[in-house]
Amino acid sequence: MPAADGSQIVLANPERWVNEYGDYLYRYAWSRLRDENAADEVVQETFLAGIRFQDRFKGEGVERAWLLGILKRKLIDHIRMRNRYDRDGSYADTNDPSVQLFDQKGNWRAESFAAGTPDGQLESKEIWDVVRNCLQHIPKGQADVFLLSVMEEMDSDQICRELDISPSNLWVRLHRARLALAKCVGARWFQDEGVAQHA
Amino acid sequence: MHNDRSTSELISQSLSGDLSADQQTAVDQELETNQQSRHFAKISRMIQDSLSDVARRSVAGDDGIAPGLSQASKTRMKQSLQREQSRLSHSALRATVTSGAITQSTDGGSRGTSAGVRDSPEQRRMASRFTLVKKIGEGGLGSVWLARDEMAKRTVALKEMNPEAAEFPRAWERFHREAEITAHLEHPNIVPLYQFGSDSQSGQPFYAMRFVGKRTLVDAIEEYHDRRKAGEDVAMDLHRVLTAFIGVCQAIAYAHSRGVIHRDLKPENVALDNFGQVVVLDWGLAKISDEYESESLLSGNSVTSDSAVGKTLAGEVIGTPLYMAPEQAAGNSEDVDRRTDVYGLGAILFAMLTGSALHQKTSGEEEHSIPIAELLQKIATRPSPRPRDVASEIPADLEAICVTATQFKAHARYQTATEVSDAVQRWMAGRSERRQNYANSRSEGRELRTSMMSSVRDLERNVRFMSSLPPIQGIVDVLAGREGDEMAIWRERLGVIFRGLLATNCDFCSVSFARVKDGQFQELIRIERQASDISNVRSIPASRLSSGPLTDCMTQALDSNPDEVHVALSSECPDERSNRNPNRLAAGVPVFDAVTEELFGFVLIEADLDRLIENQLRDRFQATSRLFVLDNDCRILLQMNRDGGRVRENDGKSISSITECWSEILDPLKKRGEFIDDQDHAVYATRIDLVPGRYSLALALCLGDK
Repeated sequence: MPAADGSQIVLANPERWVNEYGDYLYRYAWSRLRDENAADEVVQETFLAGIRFQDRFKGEGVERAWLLGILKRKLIDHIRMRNRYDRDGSYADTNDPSVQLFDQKGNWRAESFAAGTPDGQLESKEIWDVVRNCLQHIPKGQADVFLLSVMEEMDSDQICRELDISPSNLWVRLHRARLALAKCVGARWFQDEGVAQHA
Repeated sequence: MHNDRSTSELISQSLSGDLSADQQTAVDQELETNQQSRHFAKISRMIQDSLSDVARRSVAGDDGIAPGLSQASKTRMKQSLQREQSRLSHSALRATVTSGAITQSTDGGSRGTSAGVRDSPEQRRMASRFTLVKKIGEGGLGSVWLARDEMAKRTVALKEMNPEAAEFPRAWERFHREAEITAHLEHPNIVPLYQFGSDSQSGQPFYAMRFVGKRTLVDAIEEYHDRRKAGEDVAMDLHRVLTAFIGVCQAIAYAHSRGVIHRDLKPENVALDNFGQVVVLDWGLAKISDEYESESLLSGNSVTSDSAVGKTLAGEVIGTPLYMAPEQAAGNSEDVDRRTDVYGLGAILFAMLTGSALHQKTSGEEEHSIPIAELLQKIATRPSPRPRDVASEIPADLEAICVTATQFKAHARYQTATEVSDAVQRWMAGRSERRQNYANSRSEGRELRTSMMSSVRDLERNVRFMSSLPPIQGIVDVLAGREGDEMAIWRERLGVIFRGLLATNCDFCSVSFARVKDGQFQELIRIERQASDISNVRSIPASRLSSGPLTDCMTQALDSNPDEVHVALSSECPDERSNRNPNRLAAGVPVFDAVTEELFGFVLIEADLDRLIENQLRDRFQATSRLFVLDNDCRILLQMNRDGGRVRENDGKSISSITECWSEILDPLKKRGEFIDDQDHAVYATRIDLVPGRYSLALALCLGDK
């Protein structure tokens, strides 16, 4: 069966699939799920679904993109299940970083971003290292909708539909995720920078 | 009026690109003047840009964003995928996956997703091959449809996976596993699978199998017990359900031989067609036994092999609680083996015998049923109930089979399904033989009763005849001083007749004529048989004839009217002679002076009861059973074993001391004169009225070991 790139596709060769696409799909999944086991599971489910429905792959496009399409679907399914059953699901709705960032009148506290903002040309890897670290410290329910919105570029209607949440709930989660991440990244950046300068 | 907080919300919104022009202006102004807001916006933008960058790089395959899969994960993943690949190849060999796909009907409109539309048969059809007629069953995993195979022109049962279940990977595994195992087991008592495939639209799997009707063992059991309760003859019904049970045992024995353990045996999972065919259904919970697992008996490296499913099942309770074995209820999946199915077979037998599920009583009454967790805990820790706890009229040896199969400890059960089948078949064959033996024993017992009654009547006739002999009146006349022959002549004549009587009746041990005066008796003539040599009949010399006070027995004989015979056992009229032979039957008749019509004395014949019975038995008893003759107080007069040998060690003992079942027999024996054991065919007993209303013997023939 000829593929778009002209190569001969031998469908469902599991060993080849894992060797060729395992790392690729895993990195993609890991960057969205931030959890090694979850990423591992989603990649396996993707391959299994690929084998079961291999007759649907018509060779239109590259095999990797076809599998990535399945992976994206599996990611959303996984996030939906995780949001439904994870114990911190309600935590996502109640944990509000505003308390630490604003005073009672709703004005920024003096220490909210006391150290300012990172300056100069930053290495994207350095920022990503700090951001992914901070993503581990905010409620999953907030981080998940934030990543679906920013990384998967899903619009709000799609996210609300897939995760079965209301638009207002989505906006609250997104905003809280931005506040919490900004606070965390600001603080960590200067902390790490300070440590580096001191050294 | 904005504060910093509401401004931060607008900043968030702007980052999502969802801000009006006015709002954007307000945000821009705020960012000019408020450093903290500026910091927040800048950091947030940086985060967003970073994530977008990572998103792009991840699509492009940049390996700098995260480490790759571990080698262990890759190896595990490859194995798992190979198993799935292999399983699909195996399935493809049996059926063309796409040829039977479920599609919308040509006239049924679009395929709906709601249950109502899905369940509407006229709107659903297997376009290329199967037409769904109606839904005939539904479980957690899938629905079963009555369908028409348009290609083969036959009716089939089609099971498809429920969409709800399809959400769960394990449900897929189980459904595939059920189809795979069903197809793998080719046996007349296991439903044959015709085709296995998946819906081309939804991808959900289905399989078509032989349609065996809707009647299950549940219906047959219910019917049997309804008829039994109505008092109808259910011998054939019992035979039929037991024959079906043997079919189930054979199917399970075959499955075990192929390494498959069913794990959910219950009457609901046994279908019966109208021609006596028995089919075991629902292999969805089946397990591949460990010794076969490594041989990949089913489909090579099938993903549904038990090592894959087994891990997920550890600690989980699998099966149906009301029929569940203790090891299943305890969640010890490692302990589940073929003996678990033996327990399941025992549970089915229990339902057949009692009409209720094995753990029904344990689960409590319908309105007060205990929680499942509590029921499982009880099943896992307590011995199983016995059928007779629920229904007392079950044949004991059939109950024993059920009890052995449902032993709490697996090692105490039958070890194979074949052993269960053999035991039931032996019982059925034995029952037929035993019924015949019992019928024989019953007529034998009745003949014995008639014969013994006839012997007693003969005894009565003889004593009455003896009392009317001329020498009797001759002696009366001599002793009254009337003219006639001398006493010696009359005694000699009477002696000859008495000797002749004893010579022709070998069970008679003595005959005597005595006079009575002032409460004393005096024997005038007595002919007796020597106890140690029955051929020796002798006349007792006048000097050794007995005399003494009248016994009760004699008094009662004397109180009788002329020609009225009083019959009694020697135990009723003890005298020193009784010690020589305690089992004597005595028949006495009063003798009156023909001239004065005054009471003169009595004639008494004593028969040796043992010998009388033995003589009767010698001709009629076939010795297929043990025999007991009991006196009026239920003490053993005579016992014979199956080889016809006389057993003397229990003589005089109460029958209750050697068997527990006598109390059940005694009441019908007293009321109806006969005990018939329709249930076990083990004991037949009949009453022999020696002295109607006063003295009876009982005759018991025991075919069983009771």
